[in-house]
Amino acid sequence: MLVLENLGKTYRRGADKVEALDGVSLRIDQGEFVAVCGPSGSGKTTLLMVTAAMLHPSRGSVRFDDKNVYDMTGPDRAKFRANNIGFVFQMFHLVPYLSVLDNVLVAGGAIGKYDRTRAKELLQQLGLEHRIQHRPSELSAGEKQRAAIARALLNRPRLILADEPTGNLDPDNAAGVLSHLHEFQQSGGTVIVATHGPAAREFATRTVLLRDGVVTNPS
Amino acid sequence: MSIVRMVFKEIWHRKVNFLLAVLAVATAAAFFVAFLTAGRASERETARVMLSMGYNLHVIARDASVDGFLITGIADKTMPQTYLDTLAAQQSISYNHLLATLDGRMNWRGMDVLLTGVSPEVCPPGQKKQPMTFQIAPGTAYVGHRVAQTLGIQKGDVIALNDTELRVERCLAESGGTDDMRIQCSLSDAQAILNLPGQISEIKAVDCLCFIQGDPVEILRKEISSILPQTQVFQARPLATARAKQRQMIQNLFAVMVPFVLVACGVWIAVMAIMNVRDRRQEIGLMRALGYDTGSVLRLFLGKAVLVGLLGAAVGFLLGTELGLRFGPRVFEITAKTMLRPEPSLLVFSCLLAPLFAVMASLVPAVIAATYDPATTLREQ
Repeated sequence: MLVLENLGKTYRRGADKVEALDGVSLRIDQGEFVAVCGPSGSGKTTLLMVTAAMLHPSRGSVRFDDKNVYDMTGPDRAKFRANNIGFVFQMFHLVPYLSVLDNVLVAGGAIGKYDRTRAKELLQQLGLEHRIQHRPSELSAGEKQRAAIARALLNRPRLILADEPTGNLDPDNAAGVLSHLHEFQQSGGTVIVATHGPAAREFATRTVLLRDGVVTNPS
Repeated sequence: MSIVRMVFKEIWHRKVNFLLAVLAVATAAAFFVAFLTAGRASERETARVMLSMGYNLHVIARDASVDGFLITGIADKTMPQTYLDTLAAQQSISYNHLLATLDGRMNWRGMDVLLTGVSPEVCPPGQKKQPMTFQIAPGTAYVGHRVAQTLGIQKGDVIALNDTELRVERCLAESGGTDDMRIQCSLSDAQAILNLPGQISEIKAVDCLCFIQGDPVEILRKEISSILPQTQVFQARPLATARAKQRQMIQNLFAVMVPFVLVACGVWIAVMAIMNVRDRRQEIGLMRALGYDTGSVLRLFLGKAVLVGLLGAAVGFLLGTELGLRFGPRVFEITAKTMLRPEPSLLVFSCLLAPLFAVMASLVPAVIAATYDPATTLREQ
């Protein structure tokens, strides 16, 4: 489903160059749960952003169903993301002025489909039915992340990219969030989690170790 | 979650920010409206004050003695009253406030007096203005200060001039000029008293050549001689020049100040808009990551800018107008009661300009933010 070929990403600031990714090649099949592990600054987030068609790589290609996503126009990449990818971020990135329900529905706006019934069902599955009308500021960290997962699931994506989804959570909430991502994978979805902690490995079907932008355990 | 709903939700959530933005726009708009309201009043006041200096254009019969007219101020020949109507009927001419007079010197009750019949003031088509002078009704008279004092005439007296009886409407205040020796009545009464039916001595007017290049007298003479060849034209130059300079000065002042005020208000609104966009970069990044296109993100920000602009313009118009009406009369004492008024055109102008400024100000930072790689924006946190 997803093929990353010889990906490279170089950040430049003045004369300084940082190789965030260097020759990363991965093949990820439908239904996998991949944990990308590595210390801070190893290039995990950059790898996810490049995979998500949000950040142009300096070299290499990202092929999704045999199509290079960076051959698409900007608007087409946006549509591609809306239809195929769900995101879960470490900082949740919930819109502060919207209720939990509306935050979930924000994802629907990208494809012009506001499925309130599905949004409510997802929130119920994630144990947030009593928080539907609450604002993000009224939620705990775990609840915020579950709301973000509901948002990620709304458009029935094929792939969820989660960047340190448990980074701000206590162990119980972290386990809960990973469990929800695992459920998504069990139902046929694909999950890539970037993490520097060990928890995600328990659910992962594969672990990719990244250090200084290089995959250190190529398979 | 539609974009429009998001705009209103965000406004409701950040009420204080929204109100501050509206306040900024309203203050800018109020300043703009108050400034222009005062500016227009100032122009009208200047025009009105200048008008009070009197008529500066004199049209007399071609065969009248120029020397005699310049020495006495009275034409020794008359011309048909229809000339007034002919001049007043012209389109696109360089004069206004037309009135006809019939002057005669006479000895009345042993005293040399000037009798002046005055027609109602007329304006050319499309140039209707408030009359510069009082209108004298038939059967009434306005008596000059010296005449009234010497002959003991008072308001309400009935005086007879060559068998024509007139009720004294007013005894005028001392002018220190020939008006003190004048009895003014309606043109028809003067024609009856002087036995000159349908005749006038002079057409007085105010020229409208304050803002032209070239010699105004030549322009006026050429213009009027083509309409009334049997006349000659004189311009009271010191009056005309003073009027022109004063009006030019006030016009120039506003020509300089209005763009300055517009730019200052625009920058103010722009700063508010830029701050709003900067505060919401994370939100932009999220929406872009979720797959919103650039247009949708721009609508989110520009929609708010339009609302801020519209509301600010409306509040600012009310505030500016109130300020103008409250404090204007202290400045514009002559025209305040009749001329200082709300300018609805400024509401339209503000409601167009303020949202436009807000949108233009938001556009550049919003476009930059919306076209960033969302990854870059999201990683800034």
